[in-house]
Amino acid sequence: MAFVNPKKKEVQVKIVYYGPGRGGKTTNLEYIYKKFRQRIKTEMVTIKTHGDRTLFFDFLPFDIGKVNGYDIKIQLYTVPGQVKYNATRRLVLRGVDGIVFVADAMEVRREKNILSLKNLQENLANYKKSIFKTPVVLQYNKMDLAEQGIPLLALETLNQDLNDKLKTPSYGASALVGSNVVTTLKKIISMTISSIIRELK
Amino acid sequence: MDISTDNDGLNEEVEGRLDNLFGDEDTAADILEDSHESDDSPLRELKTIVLSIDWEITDEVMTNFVEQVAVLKDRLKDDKIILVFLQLLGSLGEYVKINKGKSHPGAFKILTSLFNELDKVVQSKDLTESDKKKILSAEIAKYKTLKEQLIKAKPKKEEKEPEISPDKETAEPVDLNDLATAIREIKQLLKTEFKALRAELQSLRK
Repeated sequence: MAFVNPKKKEVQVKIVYYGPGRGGKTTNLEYIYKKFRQRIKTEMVTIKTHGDRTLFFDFLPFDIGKVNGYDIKIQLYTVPGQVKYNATRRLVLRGVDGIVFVADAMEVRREKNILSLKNLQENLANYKKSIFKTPVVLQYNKMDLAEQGIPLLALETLNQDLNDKLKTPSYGASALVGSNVVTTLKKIISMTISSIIRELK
Repeated sequence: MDISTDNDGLNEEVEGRLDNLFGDEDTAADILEDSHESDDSPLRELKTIVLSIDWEITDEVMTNFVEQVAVLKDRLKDDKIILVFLQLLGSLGEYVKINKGKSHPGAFKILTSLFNELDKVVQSKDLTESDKKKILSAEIAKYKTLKEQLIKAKPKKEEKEPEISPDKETAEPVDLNDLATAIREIKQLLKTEFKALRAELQSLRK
């Protein structure tokens, strides 16, 4: 549940980018940060390890302004995708309000996407949260690679693998060039805020 | 939040805020157009290999990488700028192949950067020779910095295992001050991160 501060008239919304390693979670945040840093006026915090991969998490906070008299503070997080960092992933998921699942559209990553989504479901269950009741947007990343003849999974296949039961909004995207990065972000923010309002009722 | 407000009104307000913040974004089509590359790019195979370098760096993928660089060196030998890019990539590839997960943290980053810039140089029709040289110079500078760091780090190993290099009269001593500073910095970084996490956990518990 989002952190609501009635005194300060402030709502903190935590959105986590989840998905398999090297799928583009950090690239999503980097794109948002680079493209809109003049407007969001905050700093992105990233801790990386060998080979530029996320060790702990990335963190990008920003305000979207007042909604119904409340300041809405968005906090974007990524988790490390590497299988062995599950404890960190679980920790970052604590108190999550909305999730962007960044799947890797490369054919060779098909199984890793499925395993990562399953891992997300398990880790949410650890906090007694259901993936079916949490706002989730699916992003099928690296679509730009099709232009270079790299074998990608069809959107239908990705939806069949990952969205058959969830039935949630999904977008083909390229975090590297920025296509549908903002669409994904806007969708998850509006879905999450709607969900918070529903919970508060 | 005033829960008596109707959802539709709030949703519109949220949408409005988001449009204000992220409104003037280039369309996806424009962005993809900028990055358009032809199907017959000579780097296609190498790009597939670079993208397939996963968390665990394997012999197989690095062997493929080094072999593909060699093929490209032969194929593109007439372009001096591209050739230098490929020489740097080949050299770094060999280094990562030998050291794998123990490679210097910057090696993989520079390898990726080198490839991305090479890709840009090969694909872009608008770049002048001077632009290409500037890009190459920047990459060479990064490569040299890494090489210097590797040279500096090398004596540490010699000091630990002096029997491997008996011919050396003296091994350069490890700069303990630098090491201590680095450790202090890492500790400080971790402390700050954990502090922030704890604060957030506490705020969530409230």
